[in-house]
Amino acid sequence: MSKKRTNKQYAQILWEATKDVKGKDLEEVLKNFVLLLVKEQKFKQSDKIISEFIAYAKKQAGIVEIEVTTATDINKNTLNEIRKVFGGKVEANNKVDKDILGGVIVKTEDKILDGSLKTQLRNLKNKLA
Amino acid sequence: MSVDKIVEELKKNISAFEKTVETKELGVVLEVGDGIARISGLTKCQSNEMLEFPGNTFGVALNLEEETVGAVILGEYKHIKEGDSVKRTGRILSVPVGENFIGRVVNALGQPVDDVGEVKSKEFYPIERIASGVMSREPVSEPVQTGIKAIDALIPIGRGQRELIIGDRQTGKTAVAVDTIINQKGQDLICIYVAVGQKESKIARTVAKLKEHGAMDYTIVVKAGASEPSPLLYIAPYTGVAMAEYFMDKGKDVLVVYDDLTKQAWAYREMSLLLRRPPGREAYPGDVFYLHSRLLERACRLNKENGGGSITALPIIETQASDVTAYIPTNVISITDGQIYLESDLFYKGIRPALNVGLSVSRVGSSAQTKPMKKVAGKIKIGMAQFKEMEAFAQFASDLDEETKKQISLGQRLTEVLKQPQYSPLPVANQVAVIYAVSNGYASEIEIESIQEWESKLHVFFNKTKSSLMEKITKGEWSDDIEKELKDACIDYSKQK
Repeated sequence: MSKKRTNKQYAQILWEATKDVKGKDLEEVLKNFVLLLVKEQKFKQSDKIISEFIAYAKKQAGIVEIEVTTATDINKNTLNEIRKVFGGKVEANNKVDKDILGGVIVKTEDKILDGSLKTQLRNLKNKLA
Repeated sequence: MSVDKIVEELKKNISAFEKTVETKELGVVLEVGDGIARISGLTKCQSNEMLEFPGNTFGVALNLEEETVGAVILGEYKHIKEGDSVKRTGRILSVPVGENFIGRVVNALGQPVDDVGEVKSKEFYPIERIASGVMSREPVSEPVQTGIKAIDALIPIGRGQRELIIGDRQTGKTAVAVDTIINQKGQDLICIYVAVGQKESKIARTVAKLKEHGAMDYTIVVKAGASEPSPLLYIAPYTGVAMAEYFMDKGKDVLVVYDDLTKQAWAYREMSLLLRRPPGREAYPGDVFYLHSRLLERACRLNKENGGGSITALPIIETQASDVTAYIPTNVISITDGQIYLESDLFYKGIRPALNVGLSVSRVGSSAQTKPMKKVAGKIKIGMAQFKEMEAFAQFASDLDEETKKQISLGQRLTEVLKQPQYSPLPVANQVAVIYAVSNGYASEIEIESIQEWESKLHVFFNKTKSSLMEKITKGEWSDDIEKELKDACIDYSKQK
């Protein structure tokens, strides 16, 4: 049995294979890729592989995806301010979560920057206890 | 303090509180099941680092692989789903330690489970720590008095020693350990009882017994019951030794009982197989020897420059059908400084503790024995060995010569006197007195059936009338004069009858 590949690896393979191909060739490559998925019984995972592919492609293009969580709706300007902090190509999603009380939580791919009121209060509680 | 002052103090504290943005590394759960989670991300994660799962659940990273991290979840895992985010804590798995834990029952993470409220502690100790090195140690010199005649006389245990208690189920392994803990009242030895994979009812019974004898005043119970997930069973002994190290660093002597390490090895095997580590002999992973050696290596006697504390370890191993050549028993026998071997045959014959004198050894303990005990125990070792050889002839009693008969009768009386009921540890001085009396033939006229009665009367007699002699023996003094005093006392007792 060949070594099990993760969805991430499939996404990488797809990205490498389609990098510089266009037109008819691209169609051929995609067809072969689907056949590979079927052969390795990974067809069910295709949705996940696609989302991995999107994430990977964005990373290769230098686009950073961030998720901004706030307690209330924030306007575009504020969101843009936050975007600027993370540099040039930033795609920001806004999520509203009343539980965090106030402040802001920014989630990047592998980091979480927690500036929420809830965490601050918890830290204060730990300090006073 | 007045109200104003409190308010002021509080305000000061609050204003001094700095707002900080917490930065944490994040991973995503790929799959979860059987208490194991695979996580993607967490690229900088360390081995044995604590990970925070949603719902205030913690896990430990054990497998660091190319793309993923394999972690075990400490506690309930039903609420963790694929796609949940996992945070790094940056802390190696550690448990709270401190004086406040004495008298408490805690779980493998150091959280109290005895309904007496929370345990206040300021310090944390990592559960995995490199054992003390050669230069900080010294040989064992002080005894651990187990209060069990057969052990204190024949296989003495020193402070800082590792003595294995091994035997089949139902041979009284836990009884030996619990009796030892009970006997430590006023001996300046803190005890930690680690219960791994035991029935909750058995743990409850043990704790109740310890309370009944006032032993909880100097004992911590660390418990990981049979129904708890295997990661907790795996870490419980390490939690116990981490708590012991706190006291050892303070220069105190500690006794840790691991009851039992077989179950811990089972839990580790389960975890390792789920983490897809290659199985070896008896399906244990390759590092199961290291699992026990790194735990037991942490028992030691520190020298004066390092505080002079000690950790004595009493690991327990349960064998199947008396097979000591199985994988785990041989491993642990080779790590420890001797073993107390309990046999079910002896147990059913009524010899309790069911100690097999021939197979039990203590490799370092004799240097820690007190002088009087050393003097009187030397004789019974020879007596017992000769008796073992001649026991088979005992049934031809009438055809034997006088000398052999004498040895058999001495052996029978020694065997009888080394029997001891549970929960009744005996002070050293009494042990010395009774062993001296029997090995010097003062009991040769007594019927075997009435030896026990003879012994209990002897203790009463000695405690009442020979208290100054007993005190000297307790202090560990021994000279020809004291021996003569002991001899005279035995003669007095025999006459009195």
